[in-house]
Order: sequence, then C-alpha cells, then structure tokens
Amino acid sequence: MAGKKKSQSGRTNRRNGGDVIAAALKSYGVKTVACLSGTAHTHLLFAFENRDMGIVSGRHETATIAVADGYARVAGRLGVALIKADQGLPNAMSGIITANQACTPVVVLVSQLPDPKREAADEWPNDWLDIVKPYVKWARSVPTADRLEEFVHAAARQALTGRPGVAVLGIPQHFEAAALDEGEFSSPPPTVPPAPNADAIEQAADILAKAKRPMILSGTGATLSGAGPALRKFVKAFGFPVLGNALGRGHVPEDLVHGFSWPLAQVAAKEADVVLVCGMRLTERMGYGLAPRFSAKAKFIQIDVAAEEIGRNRMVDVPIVGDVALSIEALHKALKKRKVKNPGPPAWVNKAMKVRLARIAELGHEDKAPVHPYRIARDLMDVMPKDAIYVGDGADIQNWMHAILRIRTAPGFMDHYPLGSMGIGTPLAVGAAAAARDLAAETGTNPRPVVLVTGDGAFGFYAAEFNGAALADLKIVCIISNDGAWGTEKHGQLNAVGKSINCELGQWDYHLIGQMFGGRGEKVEQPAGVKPALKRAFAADTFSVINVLTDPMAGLVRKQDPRVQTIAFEDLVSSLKTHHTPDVA
Amino acid sequence: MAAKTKPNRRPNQMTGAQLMMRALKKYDLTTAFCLAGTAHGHLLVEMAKEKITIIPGRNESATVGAADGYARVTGKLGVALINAEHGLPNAMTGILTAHGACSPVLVLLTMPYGNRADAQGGYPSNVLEMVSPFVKYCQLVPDVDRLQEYVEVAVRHCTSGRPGVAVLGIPNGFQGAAIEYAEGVNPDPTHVPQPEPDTEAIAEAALLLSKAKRPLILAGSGATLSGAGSALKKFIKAYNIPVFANALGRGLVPEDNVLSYSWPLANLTPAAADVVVVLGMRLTQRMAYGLAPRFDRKAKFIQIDIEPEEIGRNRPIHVGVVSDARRAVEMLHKALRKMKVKPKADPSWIRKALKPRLDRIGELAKSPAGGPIQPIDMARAITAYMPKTTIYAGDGADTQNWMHGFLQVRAERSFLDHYPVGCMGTALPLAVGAAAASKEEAEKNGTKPRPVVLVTGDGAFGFYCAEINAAVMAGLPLMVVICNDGCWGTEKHGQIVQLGEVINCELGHNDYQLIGQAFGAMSLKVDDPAKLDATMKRAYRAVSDGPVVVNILVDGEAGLVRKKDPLVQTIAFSDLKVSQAAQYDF
Repeated sequence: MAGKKKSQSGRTNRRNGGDVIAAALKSYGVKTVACLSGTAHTHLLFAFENRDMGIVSGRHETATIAVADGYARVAGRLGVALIKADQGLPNAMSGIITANQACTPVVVLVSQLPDPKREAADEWPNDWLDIVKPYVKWARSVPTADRLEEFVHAAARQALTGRPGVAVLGIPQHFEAAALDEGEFSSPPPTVPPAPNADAIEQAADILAKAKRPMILSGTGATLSGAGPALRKFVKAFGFPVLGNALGRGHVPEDLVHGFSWPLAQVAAKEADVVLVCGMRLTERMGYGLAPRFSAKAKFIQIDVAAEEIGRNRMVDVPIVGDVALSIEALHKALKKRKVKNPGPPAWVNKAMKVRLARIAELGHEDKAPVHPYRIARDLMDVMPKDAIYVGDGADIQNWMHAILRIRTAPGFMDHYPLGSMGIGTPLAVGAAAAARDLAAETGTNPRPVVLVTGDGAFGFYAAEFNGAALADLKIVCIISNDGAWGTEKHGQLNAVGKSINCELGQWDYHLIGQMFGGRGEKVEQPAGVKPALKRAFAADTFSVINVLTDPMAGLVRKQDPRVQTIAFEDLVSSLKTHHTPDVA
Repeated sequence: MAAKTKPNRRPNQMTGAQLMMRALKKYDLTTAFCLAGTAHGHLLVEMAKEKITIIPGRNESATVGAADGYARVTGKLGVALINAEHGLPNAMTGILTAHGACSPVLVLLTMPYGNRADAQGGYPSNVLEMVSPFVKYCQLVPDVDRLQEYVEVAVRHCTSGRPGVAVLGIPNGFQGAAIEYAEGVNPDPTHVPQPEPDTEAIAEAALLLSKAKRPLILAGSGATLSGAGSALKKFIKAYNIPVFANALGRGLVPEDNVLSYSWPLANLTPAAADVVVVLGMRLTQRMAYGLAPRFDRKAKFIQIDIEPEEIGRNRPIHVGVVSDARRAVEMLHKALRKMKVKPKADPSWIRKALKPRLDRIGELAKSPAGGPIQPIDMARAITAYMPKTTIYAGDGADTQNWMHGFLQVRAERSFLDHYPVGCMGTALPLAVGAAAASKEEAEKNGTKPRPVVLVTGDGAFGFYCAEINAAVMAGLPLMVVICNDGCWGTEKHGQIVQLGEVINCELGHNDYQLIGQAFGAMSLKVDDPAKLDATMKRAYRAVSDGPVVVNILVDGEAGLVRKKDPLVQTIAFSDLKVSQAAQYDF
C-alpha cells in the first residue's frame, strides 16, 4: 500500500500550492521538469528548487513539452512541463500531440488566469483547455486550491497507466501561492499492469511453435512495459529475429543477427509466416501490417496493453491484451513447455535484405565535396559509443540514417514520429540529455551521450532550444545534414513534375547558432572532415552543432530507388479498404 | 465572363489548382505565403504562372503570420498555404493572432482525406476541428468541382463585416485533379456595401459631443480597416478633438499631430475626458475595459463598431452605433456642423497630464558612459532616425513598453504588434509580411521601399528566428532590432517585485546577431552607448537593400523601474485588479 511521508518544509517553512504540486510530482521519481520562463508558475518553481529538482528552460511552449517528452522517453518516468494557458497552449499544440501520439507519460501544468480576470465577451472559449482536449488522454482544471494534490495524482495516473500519454492539468495561477493547511503528502497508488489471458497465450504459442519464419516486431509499448530483459531472453532461447521501431528499437542490439531496425529490415517482413506484434501500432509506417509489406497469408499475434489497438487496419489471429513484458514471459514458458528449439540465427532475414544492403554499401563513398548523407551515418557509427541515445529529425536525412544506424541500447532511439512534426527532435534531445544526466547521477556513472541528427529545414523550428541546453549545462552532439532545401519536398516535386518550387533554403551557416548560445559550432564541407568533427564533438564538454553541407541532389535517388527507401510508403497506394476486404473474406 | 485560364489537357478541363486561381485572382492576389511545397505543388505552379510572388516560411505560425502582416499593411487579403497533419498544430498561434487582430487571412490547408485516412488515426479524422472554434469560417471542400465556390465563400467571410481568418481544408489530390467546367461561369464577387449608421443614434451621439467639454476619440484597428483616416483627420481638426489610437488604429492621424497620441503613451490621461468615442476598438484589458480607474466613472461612452456584439463589452455604453467607422465619422461631422457646434478648447489637459511621464522618460533615456545601454535610450536612438514612412512592428513585453515611450507612428497601416493575443515572437513573421508588402509597393511605384523595423526582445526573438531566412531569400527591407536584456525581462522583474528573487528567467546576453549572419543578413551588435546612434544610422542606411539584424545589449536590470513606477508604464494593468463584475455596478 502507498506509504506516507512527512511534509518537506518549503522555502518559507509553510506549505503552499506549489509545495503540494512539487511534492506530489516528486513522489513519481521526477527529478527534472521543463518550464518556459516563470511568473505564472513562480511558486511552483521555487518548490521544485527546494526539493533539489532540476529545471530545464524552454524557449517555445512546444519545445518545453518536448523536453519533458524526451526526458520521459529516456528516464522511463513521468515528464513534467510547465506552461501557461492563454498565450502558451496554442504554441504547445505540436508538442502535446507529439508526446501523446508517442505514448509518452507527460503531465502538462497549465497556469490559467483567475476567473475574475476573464472577460465574458472573450473571443475565445472561456476554457482554454478546450483547444487541447481532443488530442490528449485527459484534461481537467483544478477546482479549488485544497484539491491540488488529488488532481496532480489523477493527472499522473492518467499519464502513466494503461497506454501512457499526455494529461493536461489547468491550475488557476493564484492556487500555487495559496497557503494550505498542514497535511501529509501522499505517495502515488501502486498500479499493477495487466497479465495476458492464459488461453490466448496458449493459442499464440501453438502458432509460434509451428512457425517456420517467425518475426517479432518491437514497438514503443515494449519499452514502456520494460520488456527488454524478457525479450532478450526469449530471443536467446528461440532464435527469433526482432525488428524494432521507434522507442522499441535496440532491446536486442541491432547487429543484424537477431536484432534489426524496422526501417532497414522491413523488406524481409513479407517472408515471415508468423508475426508477433509487441506494443506497436500497425500504421502506415508499418505497412498497416498488410500486403505488400507482409505476406497476405502471415498469421498475426498482437500484444498490446490497449485493447482498442488490437486489430488496427487488419485482422489479428491471436489478440493478447496485456503488458508486453508479462506476455513475453508467459509465451516463453509456453514455448518451453512445447520444447521449441532454437534453430539458430534467422538467415532468411539477411537474405531478404541482401539486395538492399548491397545497394547501400555502394552509395556515398565519394571523397570529394559535397558530402553524401551516408558519410555522416557511417562516420557516426564509427564514433558513437554503444550506449548513445540517438534522436532523429528531418525527412530525407532520417531515411539515409536508417540504412546505417544500429541502435545497441534501449531506450536509445527516438524521433518525431508518429506525428512527424519537423524540428521537435531538438527539444527531445535536450530532454533526453537531462534524463541521461539524472540517471547517471543515480548510478554514479557517466551520462549516456545524446546525438541529434537533423535536417536544415527541421533545425529552423526550435533552434533557440540550445539556449536551454546551455543554461542547464547539457551536452548534445547535433549534426545537421544541410542540403539547403526542404529536401524530400524538393525531390518529390522534381520526381513528379520535373521542377521544384518554394523548396530551396540555401546552405546557411547554422553552426553559428551553436556558437551564439556559448556552445561549439563547426561547418564541414569535405567528406574527410566529418569524422574528425564528430570526434571533437564527442570529446567536448559542451554541446556542438556540426553543420555538414550535404549533396543537395542526393535526395533524388531516394525517390526513385526502393532499395534505399527505409521510410517507404509509395507502394502502399491501395486504400486501406481495398486491403482490408480480402483479409476479412 | 469566359474563363481566361488556358484549358488543361482537354478544352473543357481545368485542374483544381486552376479553379482556385480563378477565384483568387478576383481579389487582386499578388503575393502568397507558403511553407515548402509539395502538398500545394499544383497551386504553387499556377501561382508562378500568374507571376504571384511566393514568400517562403519556416514555421507554419510564421507562414500565417506573414500573410497577416501583409494583410494589415496592404488592406488586401493575406493568403497562407500550409498542410494539415503536421502544419495545423504549428499554425494555431499564427491563426489565433491573425483572427484576434481582425486580419483578413485565408489559410489554405491541404489535408489527407478518404482512402489514406487510418480509421484509428491519432487525431479526430477531421483535423479542422482543432481550429474551427477560433476562426470566422472553417470548411472542408467536399468535391473538386466546388473549389472555386468554396474559395470565394471563404474570402467573403475573411473580408466582410469584422474581418478575420477563414480556413479552407483541401483534400490532397484535389489540386491536381482535372474536372470538366462550364464556359462563361465566373461572375465577379458580390459587392456588399458597408452598413450605414442609424440616424437617430448619430443624432444622440452628436448631442453628447456637442455638450462635451473634454471629448476624446479612441481609434482602434476597426477605424483603419474601414479606411476612416481622412474623415477622422477632418473631424478632429474641425472640432479640436484629441484622438488616442491603439494597434492598427495608430498612424491614422499621424502621431506628430498635436491632437494625436498613442494610447500606450497617453493612457495616464483619459480620466479627464467627459465624453469618449470608441471607434472600431475593443474595450479589453489593454483599454482598461473602458472603466475606472483609467476612465472617469461619469464619462459618457459612444461606441461605433461594425460588429454589434462588440458594443458594450465590459461596460455600459450610452450610445451604440453599429456601422462602418468611416461612415459614422462622416455623419457625426455632418451632424455637428448642422448643430453649429463650436470647436472645443485646446486639449491642453492632455499635455499637462502627460508632462510628468514625458519628463521621467526623458530622464531615463540616458545611458551611463561605458554602458550598459538603457533600453529607453535604445528606444530614443531607434526612433531618432526613423523615416516617417516606416512600418513599425513591435514584439516582446518590456521592450514594447520602452518603445511606446518614444515611438510616433506617422503613416497609416504602419504599426503592427502581437496583440491582442500577445503570443511572443509573432511580430517577426508579421514584419516579414509587412516587408513583402513594402517591397511590392516600391516595385510597383518604382520607389525605394519603406523600411520595416521590428523591435523585439531576446526572449521573443527565439520563437521564429529562422524567418530571417525568408527575409533574405526574398530580399526584403526588414530591420530586426533585438533589445537584448539577457532574460525574460518582464517575468524576471515581476518575480523580483513579488518575491525578491528570480527563478528560470535568465537567458544570457547571447549573440543573436549571429542568426542574421548565419542567413547572410547584415548583422550588427552594439553594447556601447557611444556607438548606439551610429549603429542605428548605419542600419537605416542599409535596410532598403535587404535584411539587417541589430543586437543591442541593454541593461538586464532596467526592467525593474517599469514594475515600480507607473509613470513609465505604457503597458499598464496592475491597477486593474478589480474584476469587471465589481466595476460593472455603476
């Protein structure tokens, strides 16, 4: 049962609304919060400071949410962001939707004008939370100051349990200063994740036991449930290949023996006869789980903590509602009982990837400028430590990176998907670095390094967030693949109509933005310059912005050659309806 | 009238994009704002054929903001092209800002529709729901062959009555689709005359004004939107009535005219007025709700607005006139003439009441030798060399407070800021749109462009700083001045006053001019008061050739006096603590 702990005295030795909120949040293990500026949350900020909790400063509300999002993805705990309602929430929309779609547990504390300051004739709906309600798990306002604690716990529970997501808590700004009666701070109620249905596990085990070419897809849900150890044991015992996507990457190191990334290895998916989907949405990015990406005859087993998720876009043979870790453990037992043997590494996956890997190996070895994006990817893999946290942004550059990038530690990959809002990788990286530092402090180790690879177009959205990194003394290695254009749009136009319009940006000196905020900035124009610049950045004790001028025309081949399309949807033109019908019949 | 556009593929076929252009051309479209392109590729190609200037954006709120700035300066429709899935959440701030400012802006939103939509999509499948509560008009075009009609209806909503934002959702694929069209069906848009004031209401208002000893006119954006400038100038001159202007209403009567003041500067004085005419302005907090203590409780209020719902916001109104602002001023003038009303006494009460404020501002507008530069000294230097025709854009919080102390707007449609929504940073894209308008006007007239001067804070500058890229690419006459106090100034000093210490408000005096340099703009930094004036002169000389970024390092502690001394509070609301409910009881 929930333990009780004594009130920690506030700065003025009395308990105000801010103390109540900070103590409640601290009970979830939160050590760092994100906040844009201050006054509407001043009392709360002091309450955090009194509890030795860190504050990372944001320069845009969406970025402030994304810092909390990145923090939560890496720390595996609640992310907390502080913004205000009237001018802040409209700015925060992209950040809130990004976090909610990525299933990140984030509580957004929104300070609101007190009621007497509201105008009856206001242009906007009286309740600013209306703007965000349809896009989050939960959004409520605290009705009275003495109910702050209850509402903070409710918000945290909403964010953390079931399928995690965003909870927005509106707080009339004077509540944080309100003096409250002495009382005890309570701890969060414990929650036990749901175990899978035993019959479903048996059915799934029967199918897996007979499978010739089984494949596991590991999504964000696998990471959120802490399924890494169970998954590694499972793969070791039975030899299954695991294709990871999003935050689900890296549980089994992507050494192309048992561990693969979905973007690279998706060409092998159609060979699988049984697919075990672990905490992953069968969206467009996953080919909807349908042909042509998968075999129309493949059997699907889907494990998800959210029952509604099972059966998205296709029929599922064995649905398992439950925690991914518990479900994998149960499956493991069931397969052991059936004496299923380990056939050794799944060579069929590598065979299916052969043409793709050969094409990738051919490309991008030029010694002369302009730099090919593969150069960045290859040199980064040489230099990046195994435990690095990789943050991806942009469009074309991620396509290139996926070909070479191997994630070897989970959680070790995050990006702007599934929403895909350009630029949000920058604040995600800031939050990731804050989490890496908190975790390292707890274990007495060095923080895992954080690498951000982004495009020049994407970089423009939240470039000022390096100020937050500088103020919080966080180290990030940021690499901009600067092709001087909205690359994927430009090449899309060139491919479709033979010319490009309104997509050129110019290959500008983005590295100056690193210097501007007191960090490092360097420009790389020659292929040979990439690796030394990366080495310098990893060795430095501050953040670096490496501006690599990449080939403006490199993106065209991506539009034309499916072998290099690691982000691919051009072949999914048939409608979902058309796909769906034959499967039903 | 026959269609002028060349037929595509078959004689009677047009693409959706061509249909859209057929509609847009009726509204004198010459410039549009667009982030990147493919979702609007077909429309962009049609625009290029028609020699429409396309100004790029780097954030959707900035793209909409630039269209807003363009609309505010030109009085024409602003057109912004973005996409829905990733774009609309980013665009919310820009859309709310434009709508709050009554800017006629059409947002064309490409969106996934039909077979590509996942039944379990991460959002409601109609993303327009996100924005529909915040705009005048928001519809999804149901079929390709209705594109022209929907564009025309959307524009009518933007531009008529009280202007605002219309959002049109265009399913991906519609712009490139070819449809059969009927020859000869392209009528001009219906001309809708603006509503005239009720004659009895005008008579009542005239009676109040005839008896007034110290009448005062408050001119807001609505006065400018109705083109009331020359009528207003004649009226105040004839009867010696002072006018205080706010937002886009500024510059309607040049602020170097003895009868013309900016509201922020003159807001200490209206309590002496006995009759107040509110002309196309919302009585919001910025206007102290039209209530005491800023106004006299006994003052009589006449409010003229095209939007009947606006009349009586936050306070009772003695005479409400639903009308176009220009027509109402003309008819009031006529009525007073008929009543043989004599000009009012010289409004020396304003000058008298303002003197302590102007003296105090003058005192503070001096920097100690060697620095740091005082922000109010910065405001002096920026305005000292500012040409009369300058278009001024204001952003930040403390920064604007200081600028209002010196700024005189001397031309119509030449003041823009981030209010009434007040989202930090949005004035940079507004200024980009204003500069696009200025450049276009100059090219048309063969003159040098009017400079556009944005004065912003360092905190505010961070939001959309990549828009300098657009300004450089389009060669715009834009000067960006950053009043760099190294912090979220107004928040920091608020904390100091309230609690005596600061948390999470320091940003550091960063080298923001490097952003200008990164994008190839002329970039200057100054921290020495002795070089301040020379730097500003240099920036004004250079701006007609392209963007200039000036990073002025100012005293990080200077904001404190603003919190403490009402004499320097040109943006003031700390004395408006009482709720409307309490004040309403007259």
